[in-house]
Amino acid sequence: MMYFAYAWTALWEDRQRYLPGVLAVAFSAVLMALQSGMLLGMFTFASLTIDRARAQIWLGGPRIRTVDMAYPIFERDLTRLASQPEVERAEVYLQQHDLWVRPDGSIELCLVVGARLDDQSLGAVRELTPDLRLLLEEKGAIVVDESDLERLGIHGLGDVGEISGHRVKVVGLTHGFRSPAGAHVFCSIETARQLTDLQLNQISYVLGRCRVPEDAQAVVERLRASYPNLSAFTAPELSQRSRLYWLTKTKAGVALGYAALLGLLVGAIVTSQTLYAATIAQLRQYAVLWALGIPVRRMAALVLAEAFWMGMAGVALAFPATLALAKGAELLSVIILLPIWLLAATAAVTMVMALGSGFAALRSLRRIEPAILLR
Amino acid sequence: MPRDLGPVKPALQGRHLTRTFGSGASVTRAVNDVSFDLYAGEAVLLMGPSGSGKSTLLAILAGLSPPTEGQVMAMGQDLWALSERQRQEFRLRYCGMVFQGFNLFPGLSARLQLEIVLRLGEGVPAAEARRRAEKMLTLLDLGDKASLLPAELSGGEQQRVAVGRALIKNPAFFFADEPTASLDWVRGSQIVQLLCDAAHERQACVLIVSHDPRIRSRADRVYYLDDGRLREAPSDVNPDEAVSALAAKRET
Repeated sequence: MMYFAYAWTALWEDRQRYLPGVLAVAFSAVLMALQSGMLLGMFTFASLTIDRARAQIWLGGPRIRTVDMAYPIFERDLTRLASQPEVERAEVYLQQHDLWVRPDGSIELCLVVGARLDDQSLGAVRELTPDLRLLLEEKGAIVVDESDLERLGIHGLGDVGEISGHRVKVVGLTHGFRSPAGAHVFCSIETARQLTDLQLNQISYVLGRCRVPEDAQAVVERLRASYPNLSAFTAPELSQRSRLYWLTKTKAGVALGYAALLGLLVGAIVTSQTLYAATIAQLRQYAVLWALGIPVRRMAALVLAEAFWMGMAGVALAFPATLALAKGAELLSVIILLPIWLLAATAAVTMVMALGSGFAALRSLRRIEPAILLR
Repeated sequence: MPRDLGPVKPALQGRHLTRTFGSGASVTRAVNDVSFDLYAGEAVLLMGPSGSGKSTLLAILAGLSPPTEGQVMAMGQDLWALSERQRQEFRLRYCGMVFQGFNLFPGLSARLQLEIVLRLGEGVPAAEARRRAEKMLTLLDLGDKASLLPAELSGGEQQRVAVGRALIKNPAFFFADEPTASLDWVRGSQIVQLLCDAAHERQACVLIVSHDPRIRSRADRVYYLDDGRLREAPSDVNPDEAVSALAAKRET
């Protein structure tokens, strides 16, 4: 403990000298957290329709890799889920990619999402307020995200557009459904049937909710065993599957992952070099202790304790900065997810880098030359 | 308590010490077949022009840098036959050192600069280390500056803290390499007095390396080192003339 006490005292009293090192650690941690958070957040678009809805169980066609790409199933498959004793509600759900025709005649990809619109709807995302759901009862009425207005070539409420040769009218706007894969177009089941090429007896999914939420997993397992030609997932399972698909199977995901790794590498190098320099700057002081016979291992403990405190100080500075920057990114509709496990992992990696820098500095400690003390 | 190492038996003996650098045609003899004895209770001054090998010789005698040839006997042990760990333990137990640069940790107070030597070196408990540090600082007339950082101390005060850091172990041997070079003579004189007191009152064996001739009058014995060769200064030689003569001889 005395090493930590001396190291902290030395750091605090000489904080101006150590500040660059601490800031380097903080910068590194912020970079890691934000890039990783951006990576996580980047592909949340892939599961927005799952995460923002109330359905606990999703039953669809075979070999589903992501929620927005599924073979159609039949409306009669509704009974397969509805008949499960734990399920209190089951309903149909339509979701399919389609083409939006802009006023200038060019086309844009969109994702038509058709769900029940009553108050207990499992498929309607929570951003569809009761007022919006009422407006969507009108045939051809749609709700889009405000971030997609420019992409779709429209300006706002009341504007009309065209999907698959059908006229649609914007009756409402959501916020936070930005997606590079295609603009979300929310509507009723009836409107969705008109816009998609699904046949009258076809749907995309059956959605379900259990009386006891914890029963969802057991129901899913039973469905998988009973109906091998269908795919059954809990909402978290399908959400993660969809995000992972975009993360790993698309070039965008690989590129972002590579960028995050580069950020980690840059952070590690900056941290290690700065901490190493801060330690080496006191080499003469350590050399005097060595000359006085202080064992190298004890000086090493002091060096590592200093590296530890620099790491901790950097992490402490990084946390509020990371949260503030992530909040700021929201204003630009950039989603940065910072779950507790990510923050903890970032702190752990940062501390490992800080201590690693301390270990690197020990090499110089072990090779102290008396010449640095003598004229 | 200071240790009495005996008035006649040398505490530290250097025998035929040589230190060379480089190899082949470019070899340099910084120390050239030097033999001399150091006794407890006396302050010895080693003088010579810059580059004469004084600091190299001090480093050899203090167990910091090995000789190319020769032997250093201290406390009955061949210092350079010991392992690195044994030499480190020897320095911890018996040696104190100060250098031209004060080399104090910028973030530690005067008291902590001394405490850290006791706690990291001898494993002294915190309370005792603090007590001994404060006592030493009081002896050095720095009692009211115990909590000040090096940046808040004058050059002379910093060097006194450095001396205290070396003395707090109550060393049998005290080595000082140009301890007054960064100080004016008033402050430097205080440092020299402390080193001489360490010899005369604590019976330490003190070796001061310096090219400052004003220290000569305080030392018990004076040696000159020129081009690696050692000779004891006769008492009737004017030190300024001796150093000038040596410097002129080197230029020719």
